[in-house]
Amino acid sequence: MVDVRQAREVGLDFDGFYAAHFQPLTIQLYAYTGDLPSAQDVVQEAFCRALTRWKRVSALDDPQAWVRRVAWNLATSQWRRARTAAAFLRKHRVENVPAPGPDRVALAGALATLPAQHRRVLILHYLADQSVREIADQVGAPEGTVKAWLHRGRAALAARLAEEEDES
Amino acid sequence: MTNLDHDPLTAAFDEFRGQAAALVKPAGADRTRQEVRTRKRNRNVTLATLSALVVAIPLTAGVLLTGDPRGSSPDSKPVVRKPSASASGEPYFVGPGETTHPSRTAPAGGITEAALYSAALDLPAWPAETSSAKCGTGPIPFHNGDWQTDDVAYWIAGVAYADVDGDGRAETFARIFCMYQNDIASQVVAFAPADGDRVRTIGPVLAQTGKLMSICGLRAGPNGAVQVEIADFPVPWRCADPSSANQRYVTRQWLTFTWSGSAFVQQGTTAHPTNAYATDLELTSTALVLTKQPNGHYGGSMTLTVHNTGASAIPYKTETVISYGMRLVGPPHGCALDPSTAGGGMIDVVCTAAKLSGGATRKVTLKIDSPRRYQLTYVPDTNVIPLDGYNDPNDTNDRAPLAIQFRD
Repeated sequence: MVDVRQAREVGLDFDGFYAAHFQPLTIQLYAYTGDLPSAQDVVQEAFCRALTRWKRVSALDDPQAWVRRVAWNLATSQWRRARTAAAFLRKHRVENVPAPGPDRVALAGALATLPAQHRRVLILHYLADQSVREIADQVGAPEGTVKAWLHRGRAALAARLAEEEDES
Repeated sequence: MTNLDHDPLTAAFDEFRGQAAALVKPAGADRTRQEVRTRKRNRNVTLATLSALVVAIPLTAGVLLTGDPRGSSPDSKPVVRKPSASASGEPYFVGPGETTHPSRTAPAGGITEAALYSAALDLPAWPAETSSAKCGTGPIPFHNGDWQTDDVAYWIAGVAYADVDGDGRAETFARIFCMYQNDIASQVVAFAPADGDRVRTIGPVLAQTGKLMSICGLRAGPNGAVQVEIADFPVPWRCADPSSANQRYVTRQWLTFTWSGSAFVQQGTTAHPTNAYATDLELTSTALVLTKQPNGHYGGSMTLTVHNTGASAIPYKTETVISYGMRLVGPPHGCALDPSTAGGGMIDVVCTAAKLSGGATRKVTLKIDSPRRYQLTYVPDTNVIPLDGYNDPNDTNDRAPLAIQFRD
């Protein structure tokens, strides 16, 4: 956690914040949606919204949490259909996305078989390093429910991955 | 933080992170700025067009309704009006994902949103809770609806007008937020114009405190009353970010306040309505003692007890971890091993149950057959979870440890 004073002392500028958090947030959303361009779209849109109110967002105790919540909300909302940022990103995307490797496909494929809630809490736990309390705050569910989703999701994901290993 | 260093899934996610990192292509901070600038330009063009329409429509309506070529009378009675998206000025912040644009018109006696948003306001004392330690009383020099000090942010989110003293001139009411770190407080305050374009604070109407967890709305009520919507919003941003909670679990109600001559007084009592989708379930379990049977297997049973300590009837399921390989004998109605949960040497017995009424208790006994002794490589427990669409905010009694013992 970065408190307001720390953030000011280290000069939390937008460029540094963007550089530090765009990639991890995109990876989290990619794990959730299984669609990298879509994940980049929602994270880019979340950073656009952060920039329009940067003075306040940068003063938050955890600005990354704000952007993460906006990005997840976008990923689970109607926004993706509108894709207001998609054209912008397509215009600026200069490199083609290479073919995914087998290990990445295995995890993404296994995650895709899980219920959305289980998938989301697993990603927030393993990729965003969030505590149960933080996940509960973000998804708006009681901590006990989050613990249960994590428990269930872990067991199911381990089983899926084991099955895929057996098949390969 | 991830605390399961030996968890094989940690390695799988780390590998995924490493592989995916090379594929992410950020547009970059500069291009983000460029995009935001482009949006602002486009929005300003749209707003200019809207402003022209907003100015034109009331004048036209005034002519049609009153026959007065000058438009509506300046002495007309105050009217209830929601904050509009009209007029100009910079968009201001009301919470994640939301902006609005202050209006430059107000009913007779009222203070326009634009004027209020850039006025120095004296605020009533904040309730003696977390935020109040840092939230000040002013004068707060608001600019475009907000103000920020080193560690505290204030903003105005919603204005309403009501003629509470019946003098034919509207008083102005605003919902004001104060944020210290991620802790947010809000209150509704009444204002009136003062000499020299200043604003006078009439007094507080209602403040977020205790069980009054959040203030979500503001409007004029009948006969000069003002109404405030409160809710038991369960997440830190409360009604500053309505998108962050499942609205189904949020219980809302409008409270009505009138002016006594010296203060705003609530009419009637707060109803504390019951949320039909939420209650408090409590789960307990007996130990599972497995004794050796003539056939060499181990058999035993455990009883799960679910008690609804709340008022609303909700459906739920219990999930009880046992060793993978154990069998459920004569499963009770709604109970079965869930193969999708198998993994790590364990599997869940899932029991799905119909709605349990408030105050009621339900027991279910699970008979288990174990073909052999199992060395437990996990910590067995059982938990109760509301079915989708229902909620149990108090999770402290939802999970019970489970003792599994083998006896020869």
